[in-house]
Amino acid sequence: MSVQEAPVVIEMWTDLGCPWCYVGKHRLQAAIDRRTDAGRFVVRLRSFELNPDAPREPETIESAFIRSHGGDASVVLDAERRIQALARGEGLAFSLDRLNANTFDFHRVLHHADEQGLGTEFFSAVQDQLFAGAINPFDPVELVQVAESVGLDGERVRRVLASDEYAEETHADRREGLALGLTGVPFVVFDRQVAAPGAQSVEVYGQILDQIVGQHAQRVVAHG
Amino acid sequence: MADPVGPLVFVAGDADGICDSKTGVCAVPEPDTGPDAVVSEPQ
Repeated sequence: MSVQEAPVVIEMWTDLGCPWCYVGKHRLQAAIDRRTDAGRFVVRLRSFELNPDAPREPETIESAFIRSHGGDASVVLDAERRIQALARGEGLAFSLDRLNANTFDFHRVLHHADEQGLGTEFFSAVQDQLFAGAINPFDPVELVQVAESVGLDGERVRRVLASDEYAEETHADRREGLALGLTGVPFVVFDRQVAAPGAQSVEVYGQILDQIVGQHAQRVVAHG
Repeated sequence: MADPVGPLVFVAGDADGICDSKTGVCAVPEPDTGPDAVVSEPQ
């Protein structure tokens, strides 16, 4: 990799069950994959729990919403169906039967995976299978199985789950995102230069990548 | 982790959707009216 192709770090603050995070992550990856220099971009997934008070016991998405905000299931499911149609139009599985629960332990394991260089692989494997309705990621046994499938040591992941390891790192991610101006997720920060709140289009993500690469090149020229 | 180089520049324009950090509510586009605040599940 030449100096002009130095790594560009892209950080995405995200939560596991957040539908726009799921759509946005796939769009961001699509924008990266379109580029001939795709290998220079390093995506790091940062923790942001949308509902830190969510119960640990899984519940349906409509039950979770009604418990937190009231209303009736038909309104929730109507909104979900609209996101489902959009996601399916982009080739993504999107189950309305997926489960919802507290994601703190998941984020702790994410930090462990990130330390092993497998953060994005772990997060993506769990989220893709959650939205496909294929797993209950709030079951430690199933979560460990997915972790092992991406190359993590299952016994080590079990120890993380049984402890409070990476709790502070998970809280710190939240604080840092808020300090940077996060008001919702997904929240994508490119090279600590440009922030893109929400799920942007592939085209917008692509334009930001062009801009960031251009700024990198200018800095190389300026600093010789 | 990279340190901030300077103030972040925020992308102008609306995203297709976002989940609010305070309420957990996810904005969903209304059909034919573009992005608007409707409900989805909390996370």
